Amino acid sequence: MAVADAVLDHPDSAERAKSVVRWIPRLAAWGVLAAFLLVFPLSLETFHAQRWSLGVVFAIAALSLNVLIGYAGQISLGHQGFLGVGAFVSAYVVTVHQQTFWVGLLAGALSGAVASLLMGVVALRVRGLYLALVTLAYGRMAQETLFNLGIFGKGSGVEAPRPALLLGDHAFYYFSLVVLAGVLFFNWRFVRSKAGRAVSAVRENEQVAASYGIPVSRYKLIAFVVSGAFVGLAGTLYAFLNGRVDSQGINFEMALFLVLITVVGGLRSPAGILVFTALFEVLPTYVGDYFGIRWSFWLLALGPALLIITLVFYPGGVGQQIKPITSWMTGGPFRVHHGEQFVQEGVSGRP
Amino acid sequence: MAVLDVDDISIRFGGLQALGNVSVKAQELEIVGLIGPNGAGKTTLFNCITGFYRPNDGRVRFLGVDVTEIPIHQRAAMGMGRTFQQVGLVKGATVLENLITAQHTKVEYSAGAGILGAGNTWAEEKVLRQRAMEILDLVGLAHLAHRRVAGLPYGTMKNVEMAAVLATDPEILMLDEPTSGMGPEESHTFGDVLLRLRKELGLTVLMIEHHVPLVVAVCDYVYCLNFGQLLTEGKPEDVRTHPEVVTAYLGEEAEEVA
Repeated sequence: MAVADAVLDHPDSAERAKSVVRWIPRLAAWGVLAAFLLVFPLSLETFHAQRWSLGVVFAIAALSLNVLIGYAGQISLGHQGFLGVGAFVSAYVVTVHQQTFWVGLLAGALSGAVASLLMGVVALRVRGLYLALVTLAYGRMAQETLFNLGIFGKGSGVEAPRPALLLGDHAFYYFSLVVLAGVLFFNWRFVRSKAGRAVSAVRENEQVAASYGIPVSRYKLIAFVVSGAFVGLAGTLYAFLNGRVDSQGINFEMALFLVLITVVGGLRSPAGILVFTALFEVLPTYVGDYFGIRWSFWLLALGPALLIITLVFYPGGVGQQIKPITSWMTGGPFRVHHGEQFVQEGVSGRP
Repeated sequence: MAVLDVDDISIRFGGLQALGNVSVKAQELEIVGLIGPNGAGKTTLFNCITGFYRPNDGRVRFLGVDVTEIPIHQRAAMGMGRTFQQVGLVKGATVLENLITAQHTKVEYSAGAGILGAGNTWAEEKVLRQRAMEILDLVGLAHLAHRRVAGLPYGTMKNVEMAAVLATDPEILMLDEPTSGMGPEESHTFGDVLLRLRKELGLTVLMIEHHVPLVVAVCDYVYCLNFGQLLTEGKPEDVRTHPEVVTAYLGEEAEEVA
């Protein structure tokens, strides 16, 4: 009785007690997830640790592509070109100019942002399918010309030596996770602040956005800059993960792979993108061990099928499927809220 | 000084004279009606005023400033708020998110500071949210705050759209057929809401409206357009009974019957 009275007298403390109880199982679930990501890899051999790091790198690149395709409604089929710019510039700054890795990381992010900004200027004039073709051409050009420039080793690539701190593959994996966490934070603040809202409004209806006082062109460019900075970071990690970077690996297949994990993972759903990247990039390593299936099979056979299934039946991708889980993990109930059902939208975001 | 002074606007699309020498004024706190049959050029005039079209001739002055040459978003930032005939909202977002988006020009932190999550941005986001809720309360839509726009009935969307424009903190509210999709009852209520908003927010209103009883009930002054020309202007009662207006709406023979 006394407890009930106390609860009635202090509804605030009752609420608080309820919310604490509500969070206990959720925090436990977060703990299990964190333990899996942080502790389990310690038991991995070097090859697998690299594989996990690569998964994190591609997750960052996919989050970058999500800013363009998901939030801004701008297609890019040459995203590997921006990743490459970040990779080459960071390696160049560290190897040729003897700067520290941290300066290289900053240079990678900045150069990615600048390269993407230039493409953004093009996107102000060229739309939809035509923009897809321009970005595709840019990606090819970057691979054939840009990455074979004299300063980038005339085709033989650039060394990207890791700093002492990140020499171990496990250390590098943890550092990649830190960068991913940073990107997730900035992505979150982007979506929940003025810039993200303006970019989304521009995607859905440029005229309405302008009538709200949003400078349409400026916010398209801001989306390209944010996306470019993210993928520049991914590029830097990519270079230093491998220890060197050349134009061979940074090809059109990578661009397709990035579009695939972004769209199937779920546009505008970072959680979906992360889950699918893990499934598609890390899991095959183990399945391959057991069944002798080469990793490239995954991309060639399963990829296009998944892409078509997503576009036709589940436009929200994996993010749509795991919505009950993400809702629960962030403090909501284990179901899709009535008003929150996924609105069917095309890639351009226009219904 | 008139809040809005449209001076002798003309615009041609190819060989079509969409507007010819149209002048419209809205004084402070006035509710000005814009009527006319379909295709008369009412929405075209809205587009000229707000900057979506650049008129071939004439000037648009807003709050004493010549805004004829400046882009849409700057006019919006000066306090031109407009709605669209085909509901201008971010339909994938919730009602509340739309009202927060609409406050774009009122946000003090920069886009970069927002992305980096700088100190003052979090507190300001709360203020934006509160202001959005206050406006939803004012127009009686607070219960829909977390609903997605896409699933709402058309008439409700029109109301949400007006709430979003109010969130831009406009000096002038330009409404393009605000009661389309509403029944007579609803549009009557809408008239009351409009009168209340003018009083509480100190708004000047310019509205395109077909529902004549509403126009007569709320407007202080009415302009009638036909084939891109100003047919007549004056007090609502006078315009309504003006023989040329009756002809324009109903045709020659109908006038004879009347």
